[in-house]
Amino acid sequence: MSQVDTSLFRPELVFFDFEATDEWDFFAKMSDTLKEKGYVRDSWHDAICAREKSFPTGLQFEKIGVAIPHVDPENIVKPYIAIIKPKAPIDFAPMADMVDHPVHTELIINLGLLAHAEDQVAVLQAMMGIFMDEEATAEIMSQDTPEGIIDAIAKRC
Amino acid sequence: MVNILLACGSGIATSTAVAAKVKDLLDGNGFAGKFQITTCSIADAVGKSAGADLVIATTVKPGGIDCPFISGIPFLTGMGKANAEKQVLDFMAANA
Repeated sequence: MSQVDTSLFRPELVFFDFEATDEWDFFAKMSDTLKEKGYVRDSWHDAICAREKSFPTGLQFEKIGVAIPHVDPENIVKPYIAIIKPKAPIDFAPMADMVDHPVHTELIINLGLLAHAEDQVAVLQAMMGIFMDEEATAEIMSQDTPEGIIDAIAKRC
Repeated sequence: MVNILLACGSGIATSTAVAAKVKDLLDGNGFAGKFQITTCSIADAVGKSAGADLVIATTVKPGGIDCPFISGIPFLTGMGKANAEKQVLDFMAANA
């Protein structure tokens, strides 16, 4: 088991009540924010839009819809995981067409991972376990501070 | 030795996460040492599938893959997991 690198979570990359009309509006706004904070390159926006069109990342869990958009490492400056709770659910296409409707996403986990970094992927693994767990999901979704939501996730990683 | 290709869009994120789940499943069911999992991008999986026994992917099945294909999404979300695990274990029981 790889060690989980929970330092990838940063309070400045947790957003509540994020307003976006759809996923493309979401990516445009996130691109500006992530660039301004020095996490991604200019290429990130086009890359993530293309990637999401080819390989959508909406995941329908039993109790919640989550999207995990991410791009290839060359678009990333420094690794991060951003947590975004939209003001209203944003529709993402389902990964591998697993369900026949858009996934109404209540939480978006944007992964900025570098290549061959097992400890970073371990965070993704841990998070998948969290969203399969009703109680853990409820605790995370009830948080209203960046530190609270990071703690609720990190203690389960 | 059963060769399993585990593919996702990039070959980095979800394929690695699902590979860990599948490895745990197989080790826990007596198949330790009888399989090898290689993660790759789905684009590379098409070319590599000729030398593989099974492809598990978090993408739609692309054209050009002739060996058996199982969706890896249930290992991420838990939805339909029992069925996906059974498919993988049945395949191993028949081929390991």
